[in-house]
Amino acid sequence: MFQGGYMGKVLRVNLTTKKVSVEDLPEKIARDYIGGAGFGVKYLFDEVPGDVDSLGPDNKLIFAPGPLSGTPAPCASRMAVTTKSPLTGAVGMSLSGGYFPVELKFAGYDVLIIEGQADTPVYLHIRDDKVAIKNAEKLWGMDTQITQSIIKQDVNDHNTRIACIGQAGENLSKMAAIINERRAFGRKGVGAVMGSKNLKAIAIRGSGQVPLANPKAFETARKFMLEAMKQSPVLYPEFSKLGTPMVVDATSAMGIFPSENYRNTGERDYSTTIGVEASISRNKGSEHCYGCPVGCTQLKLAQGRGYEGGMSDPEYETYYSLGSVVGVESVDSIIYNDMLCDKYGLDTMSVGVTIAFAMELFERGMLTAADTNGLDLRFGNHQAVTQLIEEIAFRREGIGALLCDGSRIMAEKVGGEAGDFAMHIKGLELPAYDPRGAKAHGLNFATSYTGADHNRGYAFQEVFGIPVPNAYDRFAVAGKGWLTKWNQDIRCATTDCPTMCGFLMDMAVPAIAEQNTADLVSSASGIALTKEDVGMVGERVNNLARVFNISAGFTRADDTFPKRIMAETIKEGGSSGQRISQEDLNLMLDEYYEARNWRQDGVPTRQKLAELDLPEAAAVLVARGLL
Amino acid sequence: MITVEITTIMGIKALMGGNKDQSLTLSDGATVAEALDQLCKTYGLPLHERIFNDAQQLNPGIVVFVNGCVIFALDGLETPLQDGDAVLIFPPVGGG
Repeated sequence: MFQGGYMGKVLRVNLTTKKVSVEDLPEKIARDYIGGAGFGVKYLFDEVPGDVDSLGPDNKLIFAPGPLSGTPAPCASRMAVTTKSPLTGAVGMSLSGGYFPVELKFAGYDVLIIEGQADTPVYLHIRDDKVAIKNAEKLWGMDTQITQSIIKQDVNDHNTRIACIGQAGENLSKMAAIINERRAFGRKGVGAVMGSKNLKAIAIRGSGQVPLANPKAFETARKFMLEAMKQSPVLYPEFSKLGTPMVVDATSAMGIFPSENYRNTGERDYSTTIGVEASISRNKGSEHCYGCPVGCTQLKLAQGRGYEGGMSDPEYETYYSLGSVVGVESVDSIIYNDMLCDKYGLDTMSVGVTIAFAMELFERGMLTAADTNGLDLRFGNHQAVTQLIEEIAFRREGIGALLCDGSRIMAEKVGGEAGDFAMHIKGLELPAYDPRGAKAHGLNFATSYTGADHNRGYAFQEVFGIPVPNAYDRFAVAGKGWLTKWNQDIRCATTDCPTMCGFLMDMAVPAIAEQNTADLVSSASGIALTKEDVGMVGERVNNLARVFNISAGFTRADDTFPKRIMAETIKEGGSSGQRISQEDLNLMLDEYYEARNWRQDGVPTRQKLAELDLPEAAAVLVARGLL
Repeated sequence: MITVEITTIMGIKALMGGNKDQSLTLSDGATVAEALDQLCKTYGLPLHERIFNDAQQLNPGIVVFVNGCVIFALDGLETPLQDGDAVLIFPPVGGG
């Protein structure tokens, strides 16, 4: 019986049998995995075989907020959805914020597991202990914003919180997102898994509260966190006023803001056209997630012919994916196209990078107007980006069908040398940092359990120069294996599991993140965790996810970079002369595996799995003849 | 004498006359601290207060890179500069 933090219940919904059941959350799982991504990876590992068809009925969607979600802890309305990704074939874990995450807790649950496949479109309606699978045939074909609006009318409750898919998820685009309000479980094609289950939406309204085991100790920990936030040099006023778009100026100056499918990173200064000054000129206010005093989300209204009326809240990554990487320098088109992606339920990052890939093939003559439905796909053509987003969302014949499953599948379809220009790792398109100029940040892309995912081990030491735990030269190779392990484990343990906004960890408590998590989670839940316990949770989740990926067929050979990153040198700008050679990669990987106590083939050792109390992972490796 | 290339962004740029890039001439063997001092002499107290605390150390969140490497991984403010070095000065930045 939990004293607080946790609601103690797992809600399981089988869409094939229509069976709804409630199980107790085992205390050992809470202690060993904390929540969020930890719960997701644990339940995925236990219940979904690595070789399962990601769009078949045996894949599952595991939604899990953390023990801090719904408590007065700041910035803890976060939720992980975990599944086998149709885009990568690896663990697909994506986090979102807003108001949806806490509502599941208020309804009385720590985890929601969706399994099976409905015959016809349905949506799930949760009102505390009343759970109904409802007909969604009339919603099928609608976009994410209209869907949320109609469901609120349908259930006669405008405070119901909803996560849903748009047309992209219905059409099984492997870049489809799940949208809640205007926020997104954006990456790894989680929306396609929802679409494959004929599940249009999940609507939740809860009336409960999250109890606290030790309110006095919790209040002390909370006040400490709030004070650390006030002392942060970044959060107020800069971050709360400017949000993530300010990073465009920083990475541009560092020469790592990728340009035109990474072919000319550093050669154009995008900060003058789509940097913070340009983007702030479109500001109409900010939005907060539940319980967040910062409010970094910046609402922007587009201007100018063709884009007027477009309103969205593009983050830093989108200034890259719908901006620099497709050679676009129109902030209005970025705002408008971001809005379109949210509307149709698409990951802006994978969509933009896949379009950039198509643009490069077009300019090289490897795609022609006959392949592009007549679109002129030269870099910088923002009207073509707008058109392509629709083609992708509706999986339209021709260019839409070619692009809608992401870069890796597109490269296979085009064939020949096309794959040399596809910017993905394990099938997940690269985030907005050229890894050649930030080596640990890059090594995290290469080794993250979800593919090229900056949020699984953000190297703030390199990108923002923060000297925690030590200062690092971003161009150096030595030491980056150790640092990447540190970043991945601490990020997982202190943000992805509890669950808490990652920006706070970076900007408010980087040096004491594990202790901060231990204090908050222990006082909320009554489960006594030390900072060492917290650190071990991050390591446990990363190891278990690694073994899931091994069972899905991944090996050391998949921990790599796109060819361009290894073959071409950045020619100009703040990272001029940088590349990552095969030798550099080998050195970093060897060091990373050693730091993790994995074998040099990337398989965790028996000793490490025993230390982390993961006999189930060892058993999987033994069964595959790897231990 | 040596000449180094200074680049700044956002709030620091605004305090340096809106100049994102500029060349700075220094004496041989000059350090990062001397380069910053010279900039503060040129642009005045607002820049000095933004960059330095009372102990003449960098304010929290102010980050300086020399040729791409953060000075905390070099010799801090005592990092010596060479002719042609690229010096990047950041105000507090985060997110992404």
